[in-house]
Amino acid sequence: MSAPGRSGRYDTVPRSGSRGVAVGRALLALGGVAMIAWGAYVAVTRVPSSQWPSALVWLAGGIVLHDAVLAPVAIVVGALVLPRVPAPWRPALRGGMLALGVLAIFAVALLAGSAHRRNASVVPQDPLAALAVALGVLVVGVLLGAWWAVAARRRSALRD
Amino acid sequence: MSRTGGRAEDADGPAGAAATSRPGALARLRPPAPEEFRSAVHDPRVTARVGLFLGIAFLLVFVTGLVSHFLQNPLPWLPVLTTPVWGYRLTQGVHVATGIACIPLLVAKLYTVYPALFERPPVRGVVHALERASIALLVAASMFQLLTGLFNTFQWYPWQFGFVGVHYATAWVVVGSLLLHVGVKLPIIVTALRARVVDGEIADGAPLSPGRITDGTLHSVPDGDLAPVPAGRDPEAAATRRGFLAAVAVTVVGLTALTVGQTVRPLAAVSVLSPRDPRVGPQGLPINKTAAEAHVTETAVDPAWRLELEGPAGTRSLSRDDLLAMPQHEAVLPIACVEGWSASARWQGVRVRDLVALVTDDASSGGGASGPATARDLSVVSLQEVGSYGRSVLPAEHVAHGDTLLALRLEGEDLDVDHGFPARIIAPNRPGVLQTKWVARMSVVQA
Repeated sequence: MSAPGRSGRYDTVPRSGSRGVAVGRALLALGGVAMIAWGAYVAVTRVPSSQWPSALVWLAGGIVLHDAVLAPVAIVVGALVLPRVPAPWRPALRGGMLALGVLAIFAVALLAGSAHRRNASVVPQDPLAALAVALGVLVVGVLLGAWWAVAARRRSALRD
Repeated sequence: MSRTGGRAEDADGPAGAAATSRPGALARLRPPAPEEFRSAVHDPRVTARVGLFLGIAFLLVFVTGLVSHFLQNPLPWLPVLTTPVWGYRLTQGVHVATGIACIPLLVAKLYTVYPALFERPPVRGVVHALERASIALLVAASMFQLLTGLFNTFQWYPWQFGFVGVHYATAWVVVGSLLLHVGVKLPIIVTALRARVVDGEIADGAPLSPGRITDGTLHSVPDGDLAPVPAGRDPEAAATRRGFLAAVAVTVVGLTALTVGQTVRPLAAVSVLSPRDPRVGPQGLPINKTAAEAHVTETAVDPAWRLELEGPAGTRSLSRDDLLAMPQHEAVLPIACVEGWSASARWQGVRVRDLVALVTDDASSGGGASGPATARDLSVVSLQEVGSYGRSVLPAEHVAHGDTLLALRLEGEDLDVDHGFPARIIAPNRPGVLQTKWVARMSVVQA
């Protein structure tokens, strides 16, 4: 545990507040470790070792993609954009950024799925048109969210 | 820069560098310190709430995934259910739709704890190192599972491993590391979830230590201690937290609306982001494997095709005309693919139990639900020579079911060759990959 009153301490393993919590977390931790061990056993015994390198690259790739690309982009964009927009716009813009990130993942899947299409019933839609529609929905959603937040603020200002 | 210079700003990152518009500000960008994240979004109450939904979603995906796994890899003691006929359609539809919903939930959950990425020193001792390693495993395995799972639904495999086996093993690691993570963080989670936030104030009498979670003005961190700040009402911070949760919810609902049409037909028209349209394919039904991919384009339409039946009472060889001359039955059953799409269709053909009765001693059992002829599993072999689903075992429960067909026709027309012409299996409550197409031989499995 860190010293009381210190700020900026992250990932501190906290103390259990009650006996129930202590028992619960012990059970969760034990069950969790057991499931991880079972997963590792299944992987080692059923996945041919020739497939491990590719799987491990993908396993590491996800966390690298997040920690080295997605998170820095989100932080920098957040730091640059959010202080410069009115407060009611911020949740909608945050949501928009989140949706944009997810849409980027889907864009990769849609374009790749359409490029590697093995039969006409896989990704039957025009992927670019589909992405344009989704992007339009996203923009409308952000505008509606911001409009709603601004209106809510006006209402609460009138009430006060 | 000073945190006390005003109320919680809605900025992430090194505000001292980024919030200024002077030239060269960008050049001074540096990794921020955790306490520089001043947005009220980075708050254990927000993290715990997003995490709660993500945790529930992960468990739902895990359980429905196990259902699919054990339908394809049955355990001897596990009962085979033939009803409801749409059971697998539901569980696998939920599996894929919830897995998709997990993507924004996971990104949002991680966003709320971004300050933890910049903790210094990164590791403070053995326990802390173990905890961070378990979180790294959770994040890596979750990302891996969701991304490869999504790409699999688009039939895009940019890797050199078998998807099914790795997906199954990783599922245990994801849920195991999730339980471990919840166990480690439980005291924070309990406190954070008990803290009901009404207009920025803690509204209940949860046993909060003073200053632990006070108000939105607080620079609160995902766990650990909080900076002592004056308690008070801060509607701005509360609005930020509520706004973030609302934005996450809207994103999840929106993404679901744009994808779930691959199994919920009324939404097919707006399903622009889904890999399948349940209305598109030969005879208005999607397919996974074409006749060409299975290398059966010639053998499937060969007039010399015969269905070979093998049972304890001998063997029979039946042409398609022989099969059409037998009593025909019609069943409305869904094709429900492991990849998440599904569509209901009207199939016509011969009851499998009638065929089994032809090659078993007990001729009268054809009409019975549990006679000896239908008490055994049936091995089904396709003309298909390549790929992993060229054969299947039809459990006795399915053999006995009156809607389990060797289908010859679909929606009143002869089966398209891509749907399995001359004959395919269709049975209730079964994964699509086991609904073997281009059937060449069926053998009663001898006990």
